[in-house]
Amino acid sequence: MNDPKLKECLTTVLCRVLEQAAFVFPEPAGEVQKIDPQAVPFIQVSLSFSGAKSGEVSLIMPKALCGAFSANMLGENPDESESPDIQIDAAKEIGNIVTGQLLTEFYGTQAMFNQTAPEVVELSPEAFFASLDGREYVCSMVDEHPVIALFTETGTAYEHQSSHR
Amino acid sequence: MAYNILIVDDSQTMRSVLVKTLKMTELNLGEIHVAINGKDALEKLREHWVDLVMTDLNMPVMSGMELVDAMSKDGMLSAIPVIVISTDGSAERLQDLKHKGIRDYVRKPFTPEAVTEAISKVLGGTHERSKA
Repeated sequence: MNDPKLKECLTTVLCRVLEQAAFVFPEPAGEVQKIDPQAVPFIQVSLSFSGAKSGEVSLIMPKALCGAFSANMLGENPDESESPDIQIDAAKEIGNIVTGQLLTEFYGTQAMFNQTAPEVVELSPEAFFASLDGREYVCSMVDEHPVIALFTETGTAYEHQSSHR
Repeated sequence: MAYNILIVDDSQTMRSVLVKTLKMTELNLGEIHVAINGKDALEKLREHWVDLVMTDLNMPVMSGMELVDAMSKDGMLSAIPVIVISTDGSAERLQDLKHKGIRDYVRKPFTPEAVTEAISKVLGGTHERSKA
């Protein structure tokens, strides 16, 4: 599975949401193979969606980036870091917004979806690359930190009904 | 007249962002209450006088849509205007919300200007400004 239109959507939405909601300026990046998941702890935020189509959207990012997102969203000094729970909550909300924006961007405004609440897991180095298997994904760099957006459609055949088609 | 506003969102971050956004506006604000889901919002609405509800849709326990339904069936709450603030971009959902009496819709991520404009529209644009 290698859908350039989907990847374009993922990149556009990921960058737009990070800019508008977290006030960071990501640069689309290519190879995730260069990422060393043992260097820093990573988390994965995942949301399922159902309705016109069903599937899952996930974001993988270094745990350290959550603090920057939280501080930016709340307009606070990154040095005065919020509690870990609030930092994770900020990452969940970014995941929530990316999912909502992506579903409209990819499937169009006529399709209606329900999203689950975001769930967060810490990724072991082994789970990092395993979580990419069989899924469409794109990577963007926020400063020196990778943020990976992943998409899986389940339950129905992959139909080309996107607003982009 | 100062307006009391209830913010309903399961994300603590988003509740804080909205509170800060409201305080950045020139709206004449009274009390700002927060609730973590629709059920919590109904409890807050029974405890406090609220002039405007700003709610997310996708929340555990009781969704924003269920909150709107519950408010519309309650004689004491049905007149309170509701603004939905959500990531949902579906035209059908928006139409559904309008049929349920939602006064305005702001899509996440939002700007302070979008929130102020929605509130001004809903409160009639005749609200007093605290800094006027």
